[in-house]
Formats: sequence, C-alpha cells, structure tokens
Amino acid sequence: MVADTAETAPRAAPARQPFPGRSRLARNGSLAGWTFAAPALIIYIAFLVYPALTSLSISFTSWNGISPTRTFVGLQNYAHLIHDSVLQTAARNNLIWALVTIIVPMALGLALAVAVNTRIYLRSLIRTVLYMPAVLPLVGVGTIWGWLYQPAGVINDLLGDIGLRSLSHAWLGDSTTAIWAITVPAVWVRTGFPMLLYLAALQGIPVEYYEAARTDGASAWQRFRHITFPSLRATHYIVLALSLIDTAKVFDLVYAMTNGGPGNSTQVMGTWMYFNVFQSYSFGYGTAIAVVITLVAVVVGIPYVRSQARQLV
Amino acid sequence: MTAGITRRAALGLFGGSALGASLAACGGGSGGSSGSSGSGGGHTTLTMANYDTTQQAAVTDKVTAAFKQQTGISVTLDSLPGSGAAIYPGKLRTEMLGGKAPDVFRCWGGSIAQPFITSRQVISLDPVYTQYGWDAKLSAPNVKDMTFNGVKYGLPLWASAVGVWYRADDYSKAGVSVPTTFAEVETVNAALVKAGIQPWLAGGKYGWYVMRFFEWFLEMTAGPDEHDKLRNSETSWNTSSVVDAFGILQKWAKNKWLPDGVMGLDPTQVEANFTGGKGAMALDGQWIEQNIVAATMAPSSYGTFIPPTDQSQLRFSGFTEGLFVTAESGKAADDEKLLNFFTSVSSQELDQNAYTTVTAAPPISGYAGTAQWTKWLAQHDHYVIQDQSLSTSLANAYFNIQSNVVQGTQTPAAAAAAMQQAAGASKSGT
Repeated sequence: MVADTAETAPRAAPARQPFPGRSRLARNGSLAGWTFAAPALIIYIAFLVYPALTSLSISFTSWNGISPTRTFVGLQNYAHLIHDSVLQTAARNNLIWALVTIIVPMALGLALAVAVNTRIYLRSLIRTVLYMPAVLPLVGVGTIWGWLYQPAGVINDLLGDIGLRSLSHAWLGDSTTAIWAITVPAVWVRTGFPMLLYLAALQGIPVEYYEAARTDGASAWQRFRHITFPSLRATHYIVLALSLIDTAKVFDLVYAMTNGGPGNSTQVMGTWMYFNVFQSYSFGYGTAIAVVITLVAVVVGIPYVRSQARQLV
Repeated sequence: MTAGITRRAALGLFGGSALGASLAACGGGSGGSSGSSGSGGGHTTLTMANYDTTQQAAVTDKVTAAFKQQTGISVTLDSLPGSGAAIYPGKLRTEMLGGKAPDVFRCWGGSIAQPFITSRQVISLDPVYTQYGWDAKLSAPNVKDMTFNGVKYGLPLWASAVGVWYRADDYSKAGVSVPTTFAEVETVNAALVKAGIQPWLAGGKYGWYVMRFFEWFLEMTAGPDEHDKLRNSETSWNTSSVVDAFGILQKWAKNKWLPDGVMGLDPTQVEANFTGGKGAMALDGQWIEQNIVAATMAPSSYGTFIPPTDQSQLRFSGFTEGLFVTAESGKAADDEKLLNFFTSVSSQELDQNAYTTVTAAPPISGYAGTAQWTKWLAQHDHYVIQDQSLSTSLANAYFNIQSNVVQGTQTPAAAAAAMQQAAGASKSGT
C-alpha cells in the first residue's frame, strides 16, 4: 500500500535550500524570534539593563547626586566597604534577618499548612486569616508594630497582665533587642506565603501513601517525617530560594520601625544604601552598596533560576 | 478583507504610528518645561516647590494670587507636604537632574541647602539684595543663615527657634516655677519625677530630637565661641566641654528625665503627647503651639522659655528657611519679583507668617508663645541647629554616638573621642 510504504520508508533528508541573498540569522529562522522578542527586550534594556549599567558606572565615582560632574575614583568606594563598620553591622543584621525570617516562616508555614489541610470547621476562613498579613503593606505593618512595641505599648501591657512585668522592655529603644524585635512582624507577615505553597503541594500527595502507612501502623509523626516532608522537597526548594532572594531586599520594616537605629544598630544593607544615597548624598558609595546587594541576590537566585529553566526545557 | 487592509499592512501602520509617536515624544521634551508657557503669549508661569501642608498651601496660594494680580505672573505651587528634610531635598534633586527644576523653591539653610549651592543649581542673590534693599527688611541673623562663603543665595523668610514648652498644670502639681538657670532646670526635673510626672517628652528614632538636648548642653558647657568652633570643626571635639555635655545627656537618660527607651520613640508623637498630658516639657519649635491651640489648651495652661545656658550671651538653637532661585529657571527677573513680593507688607498680611523674618510684619495674634519667640529671635542671636550645621557625615556619626551615650554603652569621654575621630574623617572626606 502506498500509505504503508510512505510510513515505513526512511524519510529522505530535505534538500538544502540555497536561500541566496538572505542572512544566516534569517536562514535560521531566528529573525522572527528576535522580532517578537524585540518589544519586551527594548523595555528590558531601557528600564533594567541601562539603569543597572549606569548604577555600576556611578559606583566608580564620587558624586553628590546633583553636581553636573562626577569624579572617577576607581575602586575606592568598594575598598571603603571593607572598612565601613556600619556596613559590617548591616551585613550581620542581614544574616540574622535571613536566618530568622526564612527558617521560622518556613517551619510555621509548613506546620500551619498541615494543620489547615485537615477537615476542620471554618477551614477557608482560617486559611484566609492566616494568609492576610502577607498582603498588608510593610510600612503600615511596621508603623503598627512600632506602636505595639512602645515602652507603654500593648506588648509590655500584655506582659504586665500575665504577671511578667519584669520582662517589659523598650524593645526598639535598646540596640541589643531592636533587630530581634523587628524580625517578629517580619515572621508574622512572611508565614502566609510558604503556608500557601505548602498547602498547594500537600494536595498533590497521594492519599494512598498515608493509607498504606496507617495500615503498617505508622504514627502521625512517622507519616509526616517519611511521607509528607520528603514529598514536599520541590516546594521546600522554591520557598527557600524565593525567601532568600526576598531577604536580600529587606528595607521597609526596618525603615518604618527603627529607621536603622538606635544609632545604626538595626541598619541592613538596603537601609544603609538608602541613607548613603539619599541622606548623606554619597551616591557613589551608596551605589557600590547597591551593586553588592544585587550581586548577593543574583548569586543566591542562580540555583532557583537554573531549576526553573531546567523545568522549561 | 474589510476596507482592503491586510493584517500585515495594519501591523505596519500600527508600528509606524508607534515609532512616530516615540520620536515625537523624544523631540518634544522642551514643550512642557516647568509648567512655563514662556513669554511668547505675553504670560509667564513660574513653578514654586515647597513642603507646604494643605493649610499652608492655601495661604501661599493667596499670596501668589495677589502677586499675579499685581504683576500678571502666575505661580504654580508644587508641594510635598509633611515630607521634611529627609525626603524633600531628594525630590528637588531628582527634578533638577531630570531638567525639570522648579523656578523657585523653599529650603532650609545650612548643610541641607549647601549641596544645591556647591553644585551651582541656584543663583547668587547678592545683586538682588541690593536692588530690592532686602538687608534693611530682614532680620540679620537669618540673612546670615542664607549666606554661603560670603554670598547670599537665599531669601530668608521663616525663622524657627527651639525652646522649652511646658505645661503649667504639671509645674503647679510639682510645686515648681519657670527655671532661670540650668541647675534650676534639673531641680524642676527631679521635682516632676517625685510628683510622678514625666519631665520631658522626646523621640530619638531619627536622632534629631535628642540632638536638641545635646546642643543645648554643649552651648552651656562650651559657651558660644567654642560651640561655634566645634560645629565648624575648627577645634577638637575631644575636650572637657564635650565630655561634660555628653555626661549631662547620659545623666538625663539614666535619671529617666528623658522618657524610658527614648531612642526607639517616634518624635512625631511628642506634640500629641504634650497636649495629651503625658509629659511636662518638650524641647520644640514654635510649631508646637499650633497643636496646643488646636487642642484648645487655654493660654494660661502652658508657657515657653529660652533654655537656660548660664552663659553671659544667651543663645538658643534655631534654623532658617528661605526661597532660592534655580540656575535652570531662565526667568530670574520674574523669580526675583516673586521673592520680593513675599517680603512686602501686603504679602505678610495675607500670609500671617508666624515665623517671619520680615521686620515690618504685622503682629501675630492668637499664638502668645510664638509671638514671644519672634521677639526673642530678634533680641538674641541663635546657633544653627546641629544637623544643619554639621556636615552630613558628621551629623550621622553623631547620631550613632548619641544613641550609645543615651543607652549607656559608651562613656562620655569615649563619645567625645569618637566625635573627634568622626570630625577628622569628615574633614578628610574618608
């Protein structure tokens, strides 16, 4: 049969077309691709690449942000980073911030997701309430928590009411407690997001696994440890990567609650960059800090981006 | 195809239009500069940037409307209310960098205005002072605040002073009267604490409120001459007078004369806490009286006095705000006319400016304390408030040191040494 012959016979290699007068780009068919990508690419270059390169060039200069001339100082701003004691405090605070605001929300988010994944009364309402802090503007959250933390504020009042008056403290007015105090609202805000992702991932774990485990006599903890936790591996990875990128950008809560103080004890890289650029008018140095923040975020984000790219292939 | 247009042709038409629009936009940048309609139509519009509140903007609008009536020149107000010195200068910078500088702008003097001057973004007003005789119209100490390297760049129109504002009911409860010496101030503090009243209200979150206390103490321990030299970094900060001033600050914090946890408190709450009766005294400017009056406190229930320094020359902290003309404006003559209009008696009557530096301004009614301060500002010299007189880097270093002193983590001697180190670094630009 003709049809059989056509299906079984090896396909002949298509004859090469000479495409006289057309470029290799056009011959490869990528011209159409570039054309379709062009609008987005132009916007990307104009609003991201160009400003980023301009910032990079500013970081090699001494500039007050308004003078028509910038003085080229080479790597001086970057050399100064090493000797900047406030930057060291900021880097340490970023590390504290990263540890607390990644680990605690992940753990709490997972626990809450497991808890609300069961058939409980008003489940949807509880999920909404738990996620709600994540949608609040951070400056508003910072302002409200700033009031709660006042020496005569609600938190100290509550401590007094439960007989722990001795623990009441000027939480934001003491350099030793201020950064830890700011991480509490950060945890409150950031728990909803991992909870949501974990909740979605939990729906995908086959019920049969749990039924089999129950039949084998596995306890609730054993089921969690050997079924739930390993099954959420991909979600752990996404939550961790996104949280890491997010922590590099910390600014709002610190700015709203302590303005980097008392003194400079709660400065983080983002606020210290802001103060240098917009308050000390050291655009060159502030931009050098911004470049470092960007590099950290890029390095931290590479594994996530690569994993996402791999999934697309 | 409908109307005979292919999809390819339609896309081409759209692309061409977009390109044309883009090119037109690129080439049309000069059309809307500063809201000016230019002089071609015989009508000029000036833009004026400031940080007026809605209420203040309404008053400024009245003044500019009167100006228009007299000169035919319109003024468009571009306000950033409540932004303060932390944000407003940034807006001005952005506008200047973007080629959209206002024609005239309001700004504080000292280190806040300095970058605009060193970057040649504002013009010298020296010839205009002569032309309009402003020196005779304005208070001399305020003109000094707008003078940089011997050149007058700004027209000072608003003068503020930092003084003590107290609640008469708290003084009465504690059985004290208005102190006239620094020792008496400390006696009042102790008496108020004994009566269960918080002596001072303050907020150290941004540093500048607590700084007002330190500069008062330093004026007392160092005296006017040394204080001025310190602020200009002409002498070492590592001296006994600085150690003593930091020592007093630490004592006030330790004795809880300043509120507990003061470094974490927001200074914007001070005025509300004062009118709310949460403390007996505030170290504040005349603007606090607007809140006092708004809170319907009777004139007899509060008072104000100059912080005693026990020096033969009594000075207090103050700062001046003025109007500047941008170099980009290109309408200097009209800008200067506007500035001069603000100094006129008719403008002052409309403005009811409680902080005026204009010597022929009408009297202030309804604000007894503010009126008193206007007299004191004319009678006494003032030193420029520290965060406007120190370089930005030194002021930032000071805020950190101050925080340590208040929390008791740095001794006054170490603080003075640290200030000197910061002053040296600031001078050498490292």
